[in-house]
Amino acid sequence: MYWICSKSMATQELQINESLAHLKTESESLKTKLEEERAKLHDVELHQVAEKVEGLGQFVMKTRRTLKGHGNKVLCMDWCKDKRRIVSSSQDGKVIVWDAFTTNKEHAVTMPCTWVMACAYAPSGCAVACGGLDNKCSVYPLSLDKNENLAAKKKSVAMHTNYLSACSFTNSDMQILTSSGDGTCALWDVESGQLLQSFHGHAADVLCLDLAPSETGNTFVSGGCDKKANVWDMRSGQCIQSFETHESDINSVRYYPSGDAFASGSDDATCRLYDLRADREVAIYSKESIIFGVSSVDFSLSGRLLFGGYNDYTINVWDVLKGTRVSILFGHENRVSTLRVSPDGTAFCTGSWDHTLRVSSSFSFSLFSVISLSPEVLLTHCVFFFFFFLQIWA
Amino acid sequence: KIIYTHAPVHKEGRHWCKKGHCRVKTEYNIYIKRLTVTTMTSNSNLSTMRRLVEQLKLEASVERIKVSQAATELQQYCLQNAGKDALLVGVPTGSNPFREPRSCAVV
Repeated sequence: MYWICSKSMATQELQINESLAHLKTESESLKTKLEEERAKLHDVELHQVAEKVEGLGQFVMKTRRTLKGHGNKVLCMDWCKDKRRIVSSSQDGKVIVWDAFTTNKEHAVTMPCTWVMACAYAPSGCAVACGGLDNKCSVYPLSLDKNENLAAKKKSVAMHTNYLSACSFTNSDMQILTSSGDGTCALWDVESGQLLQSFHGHAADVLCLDLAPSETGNTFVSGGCDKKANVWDMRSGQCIQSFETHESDINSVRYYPSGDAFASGSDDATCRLYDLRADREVAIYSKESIIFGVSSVDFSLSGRLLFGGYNDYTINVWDVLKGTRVSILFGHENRVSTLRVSPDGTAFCTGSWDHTLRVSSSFSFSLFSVISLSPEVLLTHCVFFFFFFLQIWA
Repeated sequence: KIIYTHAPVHKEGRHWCKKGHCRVKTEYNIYIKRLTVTTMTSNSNLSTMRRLVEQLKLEASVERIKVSQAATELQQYCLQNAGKDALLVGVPTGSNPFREPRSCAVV
């Protein structure tokens, strides 16, 4: 009896091993088929198509505001839809809401955990969500009364089994999308704290996510430590497309303003543009002199400029169509950890490990005003541009 | 590489780091993640493989367009909206909300 049982178990195991090997070969052949299908449509490069487009020339970006007040590394920031307020979070557990025009702090909350790696502003401007090493995402409603203790009204929404790396409200205040170090993303209902949908597919920590820009859009993209960027359908929880061309962890992903493409920044010191309808990578933004990883990326309003915050304390601005760098911004004294363009595209804000946030915009140079300048000011501007161009060509 | 003399203790998300310089993505963390991934793939059972094959079939069946067409449409979007892009063309100095109020006539 025992001999018969063990024999049937052995045959079962053999069958499982055979089908496992069969599935492995099938998956390998499907992967090569996928690569072939993608390569068939790769008839031209993006910068070749954009050859006839006018070049941008060199840009100058200037820091307009410096927001000082955090006691430790700034890890994340987000703009409010009113294009004026900013929420930022830092390593010491503080989440501060600033008025970027006046640099005043409007609200400050101390989280019970350190390393608040994610923060987001609600679309209505009435609440902020943040989370980090506490594995939770908490929503704080912002009240007009400045003396009120915000921490008392805190609402715990998401629960993960590892750190929270990114969070974002969907089109309303009612739902939050989170990504975590446990390799999953999840969609939560804010009111009840219930899990509406979970997204499994990453093989390692998920570090970033971004929602598709359209009003009716229900897809989002996430990037992780497994070097993959996945595009997900929010309703079904399915991964629709997957891109794996980066050579290291993907730190940041951002949709192109039209929603047809997205950019990603990674520890391999490159930013890459992936087109969703062509289903492949269409551009790489890199230079041999850039060896430090990208921590965050964002597009300008028209999508022509791609801003990248790097770990070598600089911000590089790339021409998306031509693939060349058009500007480099210095100023931070430690690595740039987060970068977001304002909702109306007039400025961009960067947060850094040097405890500050900087709001910058482009420095337009009008010829008429040069003529009316006094000689000393004109000379200092000439010297400024001389050193600036020296840095660009270095 | 960070070397640990004892295994880190996970207490509510805190983890011990060398010299108090706590980087969340420490080398150790990455090492442990990669170890978990390799053990998982070597023990992959039937259901995981089946899911992977199903996922690959789904991805292979996606409708694709040529890169030339996609690139042209990206370029078109850029050029159409270039006029509204304040970071690209700049704004008249009076209306830039972030400009510091100064008496200097530059910009």
